[in-house]
Amino acid sequence: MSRSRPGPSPYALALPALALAAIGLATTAPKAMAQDLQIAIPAELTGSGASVGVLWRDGAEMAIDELNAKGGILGHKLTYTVYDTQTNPSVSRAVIQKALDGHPYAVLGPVYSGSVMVDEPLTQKAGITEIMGGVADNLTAAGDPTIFRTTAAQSQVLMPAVIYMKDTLHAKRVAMIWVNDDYGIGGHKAMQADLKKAGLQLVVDDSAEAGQISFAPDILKIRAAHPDAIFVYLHEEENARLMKGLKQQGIKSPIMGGTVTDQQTIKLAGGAAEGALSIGGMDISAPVPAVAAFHKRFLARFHVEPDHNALQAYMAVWMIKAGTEKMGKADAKGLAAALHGMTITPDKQPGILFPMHILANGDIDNGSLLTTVKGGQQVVLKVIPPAQ
Amino acid sequence: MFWLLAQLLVAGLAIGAIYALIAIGFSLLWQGAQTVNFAQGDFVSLPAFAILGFTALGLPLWLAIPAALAVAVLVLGLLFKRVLVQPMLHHGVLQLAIATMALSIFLENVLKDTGGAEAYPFPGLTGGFNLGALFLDWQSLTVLAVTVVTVSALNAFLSRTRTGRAMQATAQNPSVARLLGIDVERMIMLTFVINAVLVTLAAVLISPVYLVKFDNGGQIGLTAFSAAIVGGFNQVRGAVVGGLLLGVVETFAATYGPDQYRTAVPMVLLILFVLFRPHGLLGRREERRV
Amino acid sequence: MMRGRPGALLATALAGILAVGLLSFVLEPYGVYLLSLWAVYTVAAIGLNLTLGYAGQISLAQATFVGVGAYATALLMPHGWPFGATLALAGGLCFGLGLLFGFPALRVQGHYLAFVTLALTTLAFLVMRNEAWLTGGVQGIAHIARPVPFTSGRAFLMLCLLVLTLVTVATWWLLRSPWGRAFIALRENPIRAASLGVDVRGYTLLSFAIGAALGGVCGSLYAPLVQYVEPSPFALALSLSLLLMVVVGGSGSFLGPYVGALVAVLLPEWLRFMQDYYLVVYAMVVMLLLAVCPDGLVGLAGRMLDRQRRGHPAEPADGGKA
Repeated sequence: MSRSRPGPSPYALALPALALAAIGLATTAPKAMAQDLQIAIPAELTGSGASVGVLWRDGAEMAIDELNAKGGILGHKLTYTVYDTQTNPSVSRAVIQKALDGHPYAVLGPVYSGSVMVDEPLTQKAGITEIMGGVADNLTAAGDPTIFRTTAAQSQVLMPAVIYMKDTLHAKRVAMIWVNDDYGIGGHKAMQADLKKAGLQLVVDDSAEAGQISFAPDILKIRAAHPDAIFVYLHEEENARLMKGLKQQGIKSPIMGGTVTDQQTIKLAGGAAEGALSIGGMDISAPVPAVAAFHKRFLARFHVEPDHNALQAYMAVWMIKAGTEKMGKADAKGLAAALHGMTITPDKQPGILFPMHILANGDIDNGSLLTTVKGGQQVVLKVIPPAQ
Repeated sequence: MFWLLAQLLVAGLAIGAIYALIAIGFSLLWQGAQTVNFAQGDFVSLPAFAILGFTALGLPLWLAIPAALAVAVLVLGLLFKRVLVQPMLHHGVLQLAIATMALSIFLENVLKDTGGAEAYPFPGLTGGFNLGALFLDWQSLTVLAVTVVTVSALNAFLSRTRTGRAMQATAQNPSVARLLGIDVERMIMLTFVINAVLVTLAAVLISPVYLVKFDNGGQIGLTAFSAAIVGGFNQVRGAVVGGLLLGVVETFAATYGPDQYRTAVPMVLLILFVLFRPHGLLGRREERRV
Repeated sequence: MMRGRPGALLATALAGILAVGLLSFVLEPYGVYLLSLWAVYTVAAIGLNLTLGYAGQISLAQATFVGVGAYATALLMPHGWPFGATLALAGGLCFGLGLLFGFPALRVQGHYLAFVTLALTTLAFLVMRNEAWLTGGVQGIAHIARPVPFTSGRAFLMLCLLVLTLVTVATWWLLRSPWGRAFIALRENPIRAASLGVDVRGYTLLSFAIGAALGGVCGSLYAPLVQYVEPSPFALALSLSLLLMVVVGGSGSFLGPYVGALVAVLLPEWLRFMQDYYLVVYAMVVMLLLAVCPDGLVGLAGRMLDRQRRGHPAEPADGGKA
């Protein structure tokens, strides 16, 4: 490298100039046409949450396109911008700021708790409705008037599962295995309390890692304890790894859990998911023709199976329509207030695939489903109607 | 009680055998080609995806596996060496190591964007038999058998054949090997090809249990590095012992230790070995070349 | 010597920081936030550049040091610790951790520091997640207050830039000091440096520990910037991302971290049209850069400027004006 240069180094000016140009280009937020309603969709497109966020985005996109084809909301077209949170709270905060700079009508997403935690204060401050995909209880517990979700919070469906294990499975001794992340830890806490309330004994309390390779230790712990029921609170892949091993080891205790009857679990676990039971919020497995039709349209468009995230994002768009029509005008700051306490039914809003009631804290009460796996298919045993 | 310990031992050895296969390739690359491959875990994912891809195209499994092997040899062997390692190596070992980190990000995202973000099932053996209270499943037994055969064959090749000895000489000192008339370039290429074969085998063995997902490589790779360090770098034996030991220790620790820290076990072992026995269980002390 | 004239390098860095500060007045909150993120990551990248660029050691623990700094700040500020004190503590704590883990790893040759730091990052993540009594576990620590008077987005950016300026000047001074000359000798040729009496191991350890300390400083800015701390941002991915920042900018180059962090923060923006494909492109660019131009974008720019100057002897004056 040359040691002495005549005059000031050329990069002294070139580099900052370049940088300025770059930043100037990068930081203009999209602004919607006056009459359009701009929807911001922050989602986990890359990073560890990608398998969730991509489906969330696809569900929202599909709903917006369908809605626009039917004439939009009160004559307004919807436009949308997708933002990648990279499954990273610091990036999530950046993209939500960018979305808010563009004055969106509503925010749909993200799904991961950490990302919602950093977004929520900003949307609240801006008075913009945020409908997110997280299930953790604490997300709606802070009294934020602008946060909503489109599925049951995790603790809403755990007590029914405990009661089912006690009354129908006649279980006294329960083994629980849970995944050591925000989903599993939240479920574990609620479950411990619920089991105690119901007078059931927790004989194995075992945590697993997301992405854990070998489940042999967990299976052997369960095998040694001879529980009356096994409560599995893992993600789909871990469900499959565990349940295959349980079957292989000839452990016959009934399995109940969070996602053990999901289509993805069935696909991954093969025959090992047979007979598993789950109580969950109304979602993609609901025995409703409209959900089946949604499933078909989604598959035709994206060539991947939709999951509950896709369905939630889809319904969230139609929630916005319902709330806006209730107000009679497109008022971004009034949307949240309009949604609270609302009951939306499919006969009025065909995109809402089953009735939903929105609670005061932004949670949803739309009933729950008891499902099992029979012949490689998820089968609904019972629809538990909403409390209201 | 005895059946439980025996059962844990079998499970630990079965998973450890797969770690061993991956760690052997990792060691060979480090020794033979100064390549610290941080993408080794993702190297296992690629053939797994390829096998699923070929079966989706209608090939039966017994044809899909050799087809995927061919892809692995081409991409993870030849292309990896020619396109990435060769141009990078004269910039230094450090630059190459960082390049493999970028390669890991690249592979994971290519797999995600082309293969999909969700997990896929993978065909494997089911069932097994009881030996007293001990249950032995065909999948684990196959893993162990394949590993034993592979390692023995590799050992025989390295110590008994001309080419194998030439490879070892190249790994120990390429300049001397060159003076002895060994085609060093060819030997190094062979190292990459062997690694590609090993990761394909590992993919076939681990995927029925672990499933196939774009980011599975991270966890596998991490454990394989530890196995290689714990075993000692300069011999195939080292990686084998390291892999098996890690599999067993991990399994027992997850059963009897605090399960919130189960993934800490390989990492703690790694740090302890670097502290107290940096050349590993079977490695030679004078190993300072890389 | 530093590559290029040392005074000009410092002037360039400071001019860049000043320009960013001025630019923030015409940007919306999002732009201001991104610039803050840039400043924060640059601090960590400068630290890592000392380890990687000067001492030639791969550290994959920078994310851990950022995490330690972030948690220390998030935990202590509510107890009335002034921000400056938490910043100093975060730096000091990470310096100590760097010595503790660097010492055994650097006793052995090879890439052992890379492996030990890889293990450390994995372990630290587990501690942050599992020890909820201290860290809040997966629910993390929310609503972290920013230090008064830097509560608004723009004011906090100014604080980040102030810290970055101090770090820039300190690093520049360090590299000009006798210690720094040893660092540079180490970068140019470790064997020759050893034969000239430089304590290679000692300086390598020192560079790692200083790098770690700057990771801690980065963390103590990160916590009040994002106002939320949880374990996942401090996993291995951040270490890799910081490492790539240093490489893309140019490892061992004074200006490298500033440029590398800028690329990393803005690239997802530039490649927005590719949606989820941008990481594929980024990884490819990194590999290409490593193969073709191992001294990174700054090296590339320098080479292009040199060539231009040689090709057109009258050019420098114009180049200076542009």
